[in-house]
Amino acid sequence: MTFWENDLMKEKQIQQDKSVFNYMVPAILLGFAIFLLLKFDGVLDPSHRNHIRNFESDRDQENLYAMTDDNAATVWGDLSFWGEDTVPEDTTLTVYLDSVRPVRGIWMLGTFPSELSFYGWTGEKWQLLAVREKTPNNCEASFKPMETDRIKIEVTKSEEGQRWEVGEIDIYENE
Amino acid sequence: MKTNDRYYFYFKLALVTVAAAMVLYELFYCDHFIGYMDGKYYYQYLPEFFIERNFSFYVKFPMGTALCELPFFLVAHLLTLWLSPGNVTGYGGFYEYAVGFCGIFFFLVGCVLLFKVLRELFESKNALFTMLLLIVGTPLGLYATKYASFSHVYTFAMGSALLFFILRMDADPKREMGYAFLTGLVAGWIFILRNVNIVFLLIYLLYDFGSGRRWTDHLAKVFSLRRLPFHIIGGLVLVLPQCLYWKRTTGSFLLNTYADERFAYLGEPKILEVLFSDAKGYFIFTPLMILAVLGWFFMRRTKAKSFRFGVPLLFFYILCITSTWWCWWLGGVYSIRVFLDILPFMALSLGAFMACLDYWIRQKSGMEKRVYTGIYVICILFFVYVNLALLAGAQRGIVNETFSNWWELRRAIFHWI
Repeated sequence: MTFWENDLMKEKQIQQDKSVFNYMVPAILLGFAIFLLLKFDGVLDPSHRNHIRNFESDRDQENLYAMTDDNAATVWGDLSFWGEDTVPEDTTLTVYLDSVRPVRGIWMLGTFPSELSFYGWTGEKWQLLAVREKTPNNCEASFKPMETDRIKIEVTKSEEGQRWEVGEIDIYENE
Repeated sequence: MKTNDRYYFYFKLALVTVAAAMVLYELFYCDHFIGYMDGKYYYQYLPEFFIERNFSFYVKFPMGTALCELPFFLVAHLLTLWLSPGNVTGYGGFYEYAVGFCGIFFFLVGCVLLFKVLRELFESKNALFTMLLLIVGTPLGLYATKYASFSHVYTFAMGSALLFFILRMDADPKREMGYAFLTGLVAGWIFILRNVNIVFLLIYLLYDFGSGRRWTDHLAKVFSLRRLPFHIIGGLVLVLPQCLYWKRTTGSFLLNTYADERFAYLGEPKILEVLFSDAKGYFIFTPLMILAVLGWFFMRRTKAKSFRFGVPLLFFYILCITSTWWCWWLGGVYSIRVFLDILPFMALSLGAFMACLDYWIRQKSGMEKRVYTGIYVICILFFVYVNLALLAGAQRGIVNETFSNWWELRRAIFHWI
């Protein structure tokens, strides 16, 4: 027998296993399966709540990535230049919304370079909406409401050692 | 050692089928195997040594993977010299397929050895089922074919061999010294495949840890004259040439080949991202392994209890070094690939889970048995499906292999439904 070393242990462990295999393990597995389904449906992603359809950075360029994870979007720049993790100027993150929406502001949690510029897409060109200087842990830009389906955020000033990691993004819409 | 039974036959049948599918995939679907990121640097030793005659060549990657590829490379080299002497470059043509077939070969070696290990610890039926789940429920097959130039399938094979020899040393005292030599050799190979994986030796040192006297007796055996000298000699067979080569090319016998890189996230390890992110999460891309994690708590019920401390420890080791590494996503290759290195060890806890589950289901009868069997089967099939669907999605370009987003995963998952 592979399992138990003596009958006493067997009795005790069978009782333990009874609740484990009857309730705990099925609950964990079913819970995890549901978690996966929600994950694949985007329900757990904050971007889902914010009408964000996509993020785009110069993802196909080496050393620069935009991604979404559990906490919305993260952008890295230049990490392959080992020892330096300064986000380069001109790095952009474009936030695509699921439809044209009346955007009046953006709030981001994370670490930021010295200066970020915010643009809205008019349908033909990018229109500058706001410029914000570095703030400690979050960055907020409010501007005159604009009907748009995409917002571009660009690093316009970056200094040595400054990273841009966006932990969470909220898009404010005009009520 | 268990005698062959029908489950061994089924296993061989399944393995031959999988190997045939892999060969067909390599011949008709995937046309190159070397040029993927780190993989080409692992391989680069071979053309540099045998074609360029450049023995001062240095890359940060050690030469263990190239050593695995060597016999296949030599065959490809001879075939190229014979049939296409104008293309003796070390790349393209036969050389590409040499690496591809090498991956399949070590995949088979690893699977056979791991199956033998699992059969020692569990009933043959559970060993077979565990192996089948590992093959279809993890991206091991991808790293044995398309990404065969990476070190992971070779580390998988060596990890399986390590477990096999650890068990054989105890089971066959007459050949203990021979197996001790082979254990050292395999440990050395693991070191020159990926230096940080030398920590895998903990699985040997912590064998029977937590079992009181048995562990101290085990340590006494490890450091006895019947084992230790043979471990060292076996290890040096491969580690010494690597150290000598480092000395020749860099002036140092031992080298931190990743000195230019760093653990950028020591203060804020990316644990959630490594395990659960849409971009690369281990349990998102390989959900089946949640069963292996649950299995940690059942190992003490089975013969695999001797490994019950080593397996979680190695999992957390891989998790720690990955989640604090500046490149925690490990580049533009599918999933968090370093977890494949510990797959043989996680197979022990997966096997323990399957063995206990099988026992428990057998205690039930009637409708209750059908309901519980249904729940477990549906969950396991779903986890396997997720792995296969995401693998297929990555091959079809739907899932970005560097960083994927949830809508890419959704497309891949629901594509077949």
